[in-house]
Amino acid sequence: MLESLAFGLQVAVQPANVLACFVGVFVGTLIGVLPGIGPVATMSLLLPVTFAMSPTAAIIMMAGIYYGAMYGGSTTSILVNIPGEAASVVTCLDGYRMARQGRAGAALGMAAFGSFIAGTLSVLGLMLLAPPLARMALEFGPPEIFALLLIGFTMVTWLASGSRLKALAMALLGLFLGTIGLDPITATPRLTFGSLTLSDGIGLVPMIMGLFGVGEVLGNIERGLRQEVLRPEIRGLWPTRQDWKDSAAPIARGSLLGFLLGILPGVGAIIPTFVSYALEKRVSRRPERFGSGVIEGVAAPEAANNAATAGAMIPLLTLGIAPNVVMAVLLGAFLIQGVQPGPLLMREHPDVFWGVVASMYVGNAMLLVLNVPLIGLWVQLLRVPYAFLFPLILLFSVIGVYGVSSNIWDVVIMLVFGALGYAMRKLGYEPAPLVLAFVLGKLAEESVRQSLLMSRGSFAILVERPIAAVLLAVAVLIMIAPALARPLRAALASTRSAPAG
Amino acid sequence: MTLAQRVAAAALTAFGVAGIVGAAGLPFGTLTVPAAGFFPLCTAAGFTVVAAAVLVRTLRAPLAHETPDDATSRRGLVRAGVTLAALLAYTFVLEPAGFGLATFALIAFLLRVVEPRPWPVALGGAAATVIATHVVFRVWLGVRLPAGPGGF
Repeated sequence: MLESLAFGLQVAVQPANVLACFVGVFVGTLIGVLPGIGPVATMSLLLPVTFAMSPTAAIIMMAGIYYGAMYGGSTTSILVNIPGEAASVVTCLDGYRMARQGRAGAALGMAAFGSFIAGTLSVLGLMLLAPPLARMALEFGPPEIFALLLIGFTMVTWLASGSRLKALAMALLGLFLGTIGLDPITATPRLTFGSLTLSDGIGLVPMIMGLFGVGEVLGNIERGLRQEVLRPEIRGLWPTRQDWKDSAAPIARGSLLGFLLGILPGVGAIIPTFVSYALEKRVSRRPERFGSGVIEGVAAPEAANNAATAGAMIPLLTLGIAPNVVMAVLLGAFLIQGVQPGPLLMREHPDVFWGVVASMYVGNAMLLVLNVPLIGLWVQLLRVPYAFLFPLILLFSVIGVYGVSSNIWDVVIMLVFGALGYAMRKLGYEPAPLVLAFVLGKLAEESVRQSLLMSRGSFAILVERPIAAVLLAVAVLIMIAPALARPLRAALASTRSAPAG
Repeated sequence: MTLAQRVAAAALTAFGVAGIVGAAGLPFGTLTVPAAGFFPLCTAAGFTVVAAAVLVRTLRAPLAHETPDDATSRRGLVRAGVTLAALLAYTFVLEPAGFGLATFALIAFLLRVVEPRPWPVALGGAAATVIATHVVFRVWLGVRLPAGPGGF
């Protein structure tokens, strides 16, 4: 393990990879600070840039954007009361209150240190857990892979913030759209209507850039995004001894919780922040103080969202499965580079696997160095009006897509998905299940068709093989959990309301 | 439930039906040896069923009346629609007009019309954007962008 880490560090400290890591964490922090553009949109926008990079540098940069955004997101939460990132919503509750009380420095400092500690601990967890999981995954055949994908799809649907039915519809739409193009087994053209552009299938880059980049910008233009920046006196970034005493346990709990929840498909970095905040409130001796500006309310969720980023890398690196939409984009970056993440990644591309893991240590250290002294700069950036940002984001999207293929129709596809993403947000349809299903669709199709070939047309193969059966049972359990929970809650409520005696 | 949600659910269901029709024209194979049409047909059918369920749900829910917020939202909707239309027009004039000219027009339009700024700011911003993107993308990153009259 230490030998592998040393090898990874050798890869990570190569000048090109250090530069990629720096660009990733810097851009990540920047877009984390700026409301209105998130890591998914940014990673999508930068996907074309990675074409000219080595696979290791490309993935290091992309991963850096993700965990960098988690750091940056807290700045806007604390200073503007607008989460720069969805995963920093909870930080607003106490962070902004602290800023109003003149403790912005302590809140920003603890967010940065808490994030650093959690990020470092979770990378350690990733190192320990990934190799045995990858070894186990080598036993997986098509039925197991299909059952595992089912877990991912059901989790994404189950954990949807809006309607589950709509999320399911989007996942199925993603699977269907993923079938456009040549059949992966027989190369028969499918639903291409004779179009050369569609014969390669709908491009991942135009789709993601449209749904998340253009769609998000159109939504912001409609809402007329405005932000008012609090001008707090930012001093005392180094937390006091009392701050450390109050925050040590919440950071530890937030790190563990974030890491474990981050591994689960469909969870992402947002849910762990809410769970860790709720946990801190529950274990606190004075829960009523939460929401009034306590440092634990900043430290725990910030630790949780950073730890979740490393946790989410585990299913991607070891099983080749994207547990959330950010990882789906990262999976896209892997595939563009011709590297298939999964159980064989460690054996076939040890430089990529261990280089990326080790770069996360380097990146977390960079972020700490960047964030603490650059907070003043981030505050100034927050004052750039959105009117000047959105034309640039849209222009970069067009250049990004056109630059890949020099095909105007790919830009049109991006705009179609931009309009779709905008409409979906307005009407309560989540784009994440669509993208996840689209990315994993090909693997799902291959695994289900190969399973049927193996079993001579019998779906029973999914329950006859022990690992597949267990995975399928988990997927079914997730699917029926809401239906089971409802009568259980009703029964509990009626028991409580029943008169005593 | 708004009318837009009903229309969206109906459009999704119609898209699903179109998907079934399209997928039905592909060879399905058998369960033992599934062919190219197997997965598209299964997913299109599943999508149509779920989209139809969403449609039924929206039809069952009472229709919401318009509120003052909706009027504000309509203005925002026009802004978003104008932006999208401008981008679409930009896409189609990009090759004949060239990157420089088309980009200048797009940025000036967005800065002047969508998020209104004074003319000097809009034109200056557009010129600065064209120069900066030219340097970064064409010169530095070597991205092949369409050149119009005068090679710009």
